Formats: sequence, structure tokens, C-alpha cells
Amino acid sequence: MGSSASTVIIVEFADYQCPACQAMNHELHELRSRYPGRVALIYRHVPITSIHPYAWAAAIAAECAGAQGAFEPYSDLLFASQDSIGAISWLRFAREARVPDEPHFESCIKSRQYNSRVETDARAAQDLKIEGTPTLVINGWLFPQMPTPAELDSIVRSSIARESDSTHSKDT
Amino acid sequence: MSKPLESGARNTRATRARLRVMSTIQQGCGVASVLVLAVICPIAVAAPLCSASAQSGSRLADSAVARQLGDLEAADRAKRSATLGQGSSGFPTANGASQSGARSLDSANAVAVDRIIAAYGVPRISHVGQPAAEFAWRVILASPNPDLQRRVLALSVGLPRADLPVDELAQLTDQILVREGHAQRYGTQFVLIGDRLYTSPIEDLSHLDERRKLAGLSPMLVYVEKLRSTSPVPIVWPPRQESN
Repeated sequence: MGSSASTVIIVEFADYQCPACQAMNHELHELRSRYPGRVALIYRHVPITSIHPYAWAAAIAAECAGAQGAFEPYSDLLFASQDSIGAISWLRFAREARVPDEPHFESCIKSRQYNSRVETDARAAQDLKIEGTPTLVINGWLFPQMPTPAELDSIVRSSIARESDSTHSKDT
Repeated sequence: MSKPLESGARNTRATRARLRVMSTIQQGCGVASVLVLAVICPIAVAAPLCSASAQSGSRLADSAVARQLGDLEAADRAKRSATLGQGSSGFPTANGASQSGARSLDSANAVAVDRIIAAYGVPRISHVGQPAAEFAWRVILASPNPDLQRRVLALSVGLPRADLPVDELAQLTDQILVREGHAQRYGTQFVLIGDRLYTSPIEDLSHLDERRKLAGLSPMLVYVEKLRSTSPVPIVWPPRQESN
């Protein structure tokens, strides 16, 4: 989500049934709208199935929506309707998120073709010894605890300033 | 269950302030059903790198890290040339005693770079400069700690390729794949069989150069020719087709 040429690359390790991830999703949206084009978000799945029974399936569903270019609306909808996860179908979420090809979406979910992607993300979380969600990696730096909204803002501002300085020194 | 705060130097005013904020808005979900409340700041890293202002990744932190890496490289070169007859980190040595000394240096360097990464993140070319970034990545490649290597690879996801040393990134990717019993992706890993070097198995060989190009690497033949110019043993390329 966002351009890979953005100044700030945020990798978020999250779980769709995690309330703190819902709050972080909102926070990251705010951040991206404050700094349009400067913040890219990469979502990585860490479904904590021991306490969130639908989190893995939600991750697969989001990837299937992503296969049709609708990852972000689907992902946002899952967070926004977190209480309904498990109560309403993935297809209904897909309709609301305007996933274009519903039959294809359904067959994607059944095939579990994105299982390995979720496994890869979960493995990366293990490699990073992530102990909870959400966890952020910002510009290649793992934040073992969640940055506050003010810190997030400060990180983006200083990254933009650093980039401007760097561009300026190259120009002169 | 909360993870207890580390005592002593870690329990700073900034830490307490952060905890207050976290306790009000941040109740993360524990991977192992454990709520994480501890603020971790590596003991061996200078305090400014662990403060909230350092979390903003200021230019001062960049230059401090560049300096640390530069100092580390200078010390590494001095030790290798004085005791091992080597010029730089991560290259093999001829005899057993030297190998043991090199391994010990590799381990010490890896510990230092690991601390930097924990407090600062993956060293990027635009932040610490090409020589420092390349040195850090060579240390990671030579590290005997596979956890560190996997961690660095995971942290590098999403970062602009142009901001990372492409050769070292490809080597690290392949090194991990091969160690875990998979085919390598970029053709950077070789195995000595008899008196010749052969590439370890490569995935989807027919598209190797496409992958290498996407990763910012030279074509495989150019890479092999470059290696041949310095290799003490013949390098077999292209790989022989296996007959069944």
C-alpha cells in the first residue's frame, strides 16, 4: 500500500482479530493521509490462532482480495468490522469491499493458495522474535514496543527532513 | 500476564513515560498469549540511540552508526592483517589456526552489528554510506549466527533495493535457502567437490538471469567470470544437466 519509493516504509505485523491492530490500522491511515505519498505500508500476517480462531482465514481472505487489487479495502473492512469476523462470510466482506470477481474470490479461498504467504509472514515474525501484535518495522528498524502516535509522526517528519537534507546536499 | 520491566539502567524516565502511554492506548496481542509491556533497550548500545528522539532516526544517529561501523571495520582490518594475514571480514583463510581466529573475529563483529541493528535497524546505504553498509552486510554474511541472518533478511523486506548492498543481500538470501535445504535463487552459493567449485542447486535455472537482473545483479556468466579471476580452484559453469 503506497509507493515503494516512499520515504518511510512501514512493515506492520498484525492480526485481523487483534483489537490493538485495529487501533494501529486507524493510526497508520491517519499518518498516511497526513503525509500523502511519503508513507508506504506493507502488511504482514501474524495470525495468533491460539486466541483468534478466524485470524488465519481472515489473512487468506485478505490475500485473495489482494489478488484482485482489493487488499486495502478488504483489510480495512476486516479491521473496521472486527467484531463481525467469524459471524459473517468472507464473501460478504468481499462484496462490501467491492472485490470485482466474487466466484474467483471464493475459489481462491477454497484453494488456500495464499496459505504459504501467510506462513512466510508468520515465519518472518518468528525470525524477528516478535512477541505481540501489532509490531512495526519502520525503515528496516524493528520497534519492539509500539511507537506512540506522536513518535510515529516524529519518525515520518524526521525521515522527510533527512531525505530533503540528503537531496539538498547532493544538489550542492 | 505482563513481562516484568528490566531493572537498573533500562528503567529510565523515558521508559516510564512510554509505559504510561502504552498502558493507556496500547494493549498488544501476545503471540504466546502474553501481553508485552516491557520496553527493551539493548544494554550495550549508547543511550542516545535508545531514546525516543533516536527512534526518529535522526541524522546524528546515522552518523553515530556510520562511525561505529567504520571503527569496527578499522579494528577488524587491523586484527586480521596483524594476526591472520587477511585484509577484510568474511573471507576464508588457508590454515586451521587462522580459520579459528577468523571465526572468533566474525563472531565478535556479528555481536556488535547485531546490537547496532537492534538499536538502529538495517544499515542502509543512504543512511550510513556505502562502505559502512557493505561492511555491516559482510559481517552479517560471515556471521555464525543464523538467527541474525534470518532477522536481517526479514527486516529488509520492503526497503528500496538501491539502498541495500545488492550482492550481499542476494548472497544472504541464497545462504539461508541453501542452509535450510532449498534451492538457491541467485546462484551465489558454491560447493567444493573434489578440486572444483559447483553451484549449489538453483531454482528455475532458465530464469536465473531475470531474477538476478531484478535484484540488481550482473548476469550469471559475468559473475562467474569475475569469481574465476580470483578463485584458486576452477568453477564449473553452467551446471551440468543431471541425467536420470
